[in-house]
Amino acid sequence: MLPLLLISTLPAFTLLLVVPAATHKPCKLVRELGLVALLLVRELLHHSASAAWGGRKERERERGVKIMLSKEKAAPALAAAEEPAAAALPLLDLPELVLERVLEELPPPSLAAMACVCAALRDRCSTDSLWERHVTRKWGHVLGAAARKEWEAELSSRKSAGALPQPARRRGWADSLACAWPFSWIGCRWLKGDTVAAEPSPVPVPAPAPAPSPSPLSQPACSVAAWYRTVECGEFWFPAQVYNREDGHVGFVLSCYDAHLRYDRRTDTFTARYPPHGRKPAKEEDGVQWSRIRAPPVSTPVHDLHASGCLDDLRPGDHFEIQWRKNKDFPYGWWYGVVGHQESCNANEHLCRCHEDGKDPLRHPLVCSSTFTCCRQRHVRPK
Amino acid sequence: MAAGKPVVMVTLVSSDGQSFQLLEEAALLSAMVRDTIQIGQGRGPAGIPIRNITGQTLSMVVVYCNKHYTAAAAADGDDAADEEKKVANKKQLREWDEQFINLEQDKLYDILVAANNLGIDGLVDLCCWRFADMMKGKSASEIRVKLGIRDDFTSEQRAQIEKDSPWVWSRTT
Repeated sequence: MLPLLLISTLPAFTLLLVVPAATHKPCKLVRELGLVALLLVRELLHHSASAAWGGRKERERERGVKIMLSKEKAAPALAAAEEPAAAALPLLDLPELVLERVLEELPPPSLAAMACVCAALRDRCSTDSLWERHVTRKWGHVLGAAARKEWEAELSSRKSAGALPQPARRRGWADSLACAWPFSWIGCRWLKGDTVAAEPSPVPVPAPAPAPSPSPLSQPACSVAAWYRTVECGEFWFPAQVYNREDGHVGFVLSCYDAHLRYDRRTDTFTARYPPHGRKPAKEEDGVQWSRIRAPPVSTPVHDLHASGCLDDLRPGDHFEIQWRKNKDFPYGWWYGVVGHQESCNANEHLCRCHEDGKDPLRHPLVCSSTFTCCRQRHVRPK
Repeated sequence: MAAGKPVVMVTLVSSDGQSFQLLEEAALLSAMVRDTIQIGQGRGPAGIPIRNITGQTLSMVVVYCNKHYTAAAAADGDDAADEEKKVANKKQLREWDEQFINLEQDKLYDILVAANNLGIDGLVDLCCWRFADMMKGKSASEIRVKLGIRDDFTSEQRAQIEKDSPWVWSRTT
């Protein structure tokens, strides 16, 4: 430590000696000297502090190792009970494709458990291709492109909000100083010191650790595995549509409303959060069954009218969905209907001309079948 | 099996010198045997040497090949039969498969490696299915015990994993 201290103070003294001869501007000299003195003091403090801290850290590390060792001892003692020394199956020695096939056979909870077995299996069990199948199989018909998009947006906002690291700011400060000052190595030393200081509290490092792979152990937030987990654990409200809002509410039969949903794995149902209807506050509904949920078939926002391109093709007997809302403070809901015949038509397949007269079911409500009109009338009446 | 067809037998020789005779058509389930015969080898009395596979494992593989060959031949024989019978036969074969592969994991592992080396896709699939089935419903530590894998996570990593995978630790379903 002492030679290092000497070396680090040497350039400062050299400057002290050289500077008076070189310049005749006392004012500048005083300022420079002040700065030198300041740096010198800081450097000395830094060294003495780091020497003291280093010693403590050294001791702590030793203690840490001891703790780790005793822990190591304790853990295998635990593991020994569960880990018979024999029958180590070289599962990881299996050819890549074979292991992949084994993992493909695993249901999501087992695959997730497998990912917690060891570092190598964690890598193997976290691939997007494995999880993509599970996402499609379990969530395929409730998660649409909009859900994924919202999730990705949330991820990036989370990232930009949470990841602006403090060390960056410190580094910037130290960097600028290093640039301003000729002895850039001081800056470098400070930078190093800063990054060391910026690290979380000294963690005891297990000395003879079998070199844990530097691969990312936490699944990257954007991976498909993380996407599955987020939805499965109900950590994310995803946009979807719910049939027959407020199940059993007679005013919503044969409708489908946009909502944000969260999965509850204990009950295997969803909680739906509907956007506010007029001045009424947003409503939540628990226990929404799988069968009442679908991924939104179109990406039209709840307050916008969907531009349909197939109105001209509607014929009596066709099934359709139409948007309806009470007034413009309300979100649109989708209502199901079947195109019927006009009153004047005798519904004869060959003679029917309804499709020529009543192309727009909104303008010609009679085109709509009784199924649709009955819902509509019911809903129009003030509740 | 067509009546006029000559019966051709093939001999497979395991790594420890045991010989197994089986119908060539049954042996053709293995891509490796198929390739060997295609280049005009393996029909001689010396048979086809199968490296790295012991007699004990090879005997199981031969049983599998014979069974699947006979089942396929029977299905070909009555192709006019109704769908229901086909479905029933398939189900029966599957049941046989599951019983056949209901083995200790060491043996299962050997057969999986053998099936992979010999290129018998059906048997590889069956073994993979069985392996996965053995892991189903088990926690990470139970799997570790079963497969004899050491937990090589550091305590930091473990904490991170537990944070990442709450549904693995708090299994409610």
